Amino acid sequence: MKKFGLIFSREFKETVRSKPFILISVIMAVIVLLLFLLPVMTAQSSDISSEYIATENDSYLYNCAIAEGSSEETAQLLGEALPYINLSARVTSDTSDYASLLKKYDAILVIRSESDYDCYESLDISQQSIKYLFDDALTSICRTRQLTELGVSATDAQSVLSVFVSGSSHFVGENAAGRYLLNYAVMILLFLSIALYGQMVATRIVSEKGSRTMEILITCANAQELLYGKVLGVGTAGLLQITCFSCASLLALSSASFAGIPYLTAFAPTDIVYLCLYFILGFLFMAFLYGGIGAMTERQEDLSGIANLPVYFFTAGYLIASFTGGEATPLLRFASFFPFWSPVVMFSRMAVEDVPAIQVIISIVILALSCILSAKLASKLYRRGMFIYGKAPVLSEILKSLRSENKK
Amino acid sequence: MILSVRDICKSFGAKRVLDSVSFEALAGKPLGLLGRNGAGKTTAMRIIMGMLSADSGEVLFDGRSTPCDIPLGYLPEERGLYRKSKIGEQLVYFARLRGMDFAAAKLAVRRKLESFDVLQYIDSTPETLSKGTQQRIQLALAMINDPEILILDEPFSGLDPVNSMQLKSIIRDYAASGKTVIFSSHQMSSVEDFCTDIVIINNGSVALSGELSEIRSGMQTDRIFIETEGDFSGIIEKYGSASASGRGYTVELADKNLSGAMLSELISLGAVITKFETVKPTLEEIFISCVGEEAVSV
Repeated sequence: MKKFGLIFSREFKETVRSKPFILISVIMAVIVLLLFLLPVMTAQSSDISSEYIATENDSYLYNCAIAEGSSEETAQLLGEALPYINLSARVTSDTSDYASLLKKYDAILVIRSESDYDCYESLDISQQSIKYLFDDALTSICRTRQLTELGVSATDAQSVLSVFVSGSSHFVGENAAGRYLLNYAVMILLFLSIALYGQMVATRIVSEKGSRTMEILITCANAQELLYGKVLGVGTAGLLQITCFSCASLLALSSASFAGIPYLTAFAPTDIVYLCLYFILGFLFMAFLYGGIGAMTERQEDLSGIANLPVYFFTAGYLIASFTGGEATPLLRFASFFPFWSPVVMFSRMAVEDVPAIQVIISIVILALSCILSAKLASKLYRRGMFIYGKAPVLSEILKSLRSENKK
Repeated sequence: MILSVRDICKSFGAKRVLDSVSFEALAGKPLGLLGRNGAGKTTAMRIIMGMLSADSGEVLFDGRSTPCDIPLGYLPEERGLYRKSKIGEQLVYFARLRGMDFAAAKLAVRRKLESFDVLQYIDSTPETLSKGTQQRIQLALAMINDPEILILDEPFSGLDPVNSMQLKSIIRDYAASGKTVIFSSHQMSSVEDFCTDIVIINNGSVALSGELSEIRSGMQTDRIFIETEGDFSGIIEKYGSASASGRGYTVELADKNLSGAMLSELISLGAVITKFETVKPTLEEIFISCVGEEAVSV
């Protein structure tokens, strides 16, 4: 057990300290945060009046100009309605000069009447349009005028128009959109992680075999300790990375009611448990297989050849999960129990139908039993394979080798 | 410690790799394990170390069959170090895997690297070191826990003469300190240099084993060395092919029974013979005679 701990610890540290791991972790976490937070931050920055009140009293937030020939009365009313916009400048009515003028002004208004005006703004995509501010202000001015004409005093009209109702959003029942998106996100995350870390186990073993380090290791520890230590060490590093991504996502999602969809409510605590179980078991199942296969060869270039079989199987599951057509087909239901596919397919199935908890549990139990079988198979392959050098064996040779192992 | 290998058999599929192999390695008496490529030497060594299980037979350490508590050291034929890990870190890791605690492992690594004159590379990675330096470090690793049994597979292959001599000296001293050393090599001169006992494995069976000096003495050769005062080469060449060797001649007799006749003729001609002796076979000759002429290329 002490040796297993040492091997586990080394594999974990080596994986976590490796530059690709650190880079991928940091970059992915930043990307996830940015993807989720950017729209929220943008939305917050558009809340101009509150920002103005909080920060600006004597200066203007925007600097705009009125074209010559515009209605001065309307311009004055507009200036009163939008005190945070400087509308004192007057510019030519020749629009051909506006491209250069808009380097100085945020917008130029050509006002024909209270209900008819043109707003010129720069095409620069980094600059946000402020036309809606003028629309809102002029709409209010027009309504006030009409109410005044109908006999309502200007003060009362302003009072009526300033009434603003803002209720709170509460989402109840099935959040289908959020759940659908999250389940697909989880499915892709699982597929990539399991394939990536499974391959990493095989690569490590091939590297140890190729450098003959395995010859030394096997004099210090037995095959099970070496294989299990490696698989669990790399797997724990993978789980740590997934946790980083998940935490970054959760942080982002919980920070605001992003796009009006409360994504977090789409994911129940049981889903988090399922996610962890499917990752751990799915990874173990694939990593053990990769470990056994990796031990059969000593060259990285041979590995890609013999490691294709589990990749094909696993990818087939991903394809089944990806092309559901929005409904739970019999193939999708079957695949959600099949060990190679269940980790990714079950989340895809959950996206399109309510899966009874018992079915999820059965799927997890099947996967767990398959992990045990996979570990036993991998141990045999590892024991047999670690002394096989030269040309990588073909499948028939591997099976023959296993049969002779079973006879002993 | 006495290492006894008794009637070991091992097959891989239909191929019999070891067939009733038996030999003993004694403390302080380095054992040379010889054989052609694929003869079964590495398999025998792996079985001794418990890396492989034998189909039948047993390996005994001082009469006991459990090697777990006996410190073993192994230097594989092709070097086994993590290429991109620091020397110090990986040696501590391997030492801990061999049962040492962290502090003891760290201390042992420093001491061993110092005694092998490679302490300055403790923070280097193997990929940046020369083959000779890597080999010293590899040997330091094999001996990190002062093993009772040290197994070396081709320890000098690819080394320059200076590195080779230095490593030989280290191994010789280690064996002299009462440790059991098993040594596999194709370099017969290296084996001859410091192996007391030899075992020659041919096609999975022991073709010859025993003390090297006894084997050499016991083997008949058709070769004699003769040193005379005056030139009697004409007479000597009548009995076989002669070649000048030092102050005398080494004669390959056409028939080993002719040595008496040649001696008689030389005496009758008044030759003063200062030396007349049978030339002991070299290890290479012993090896070839055991495994067949086709093994010359080994």
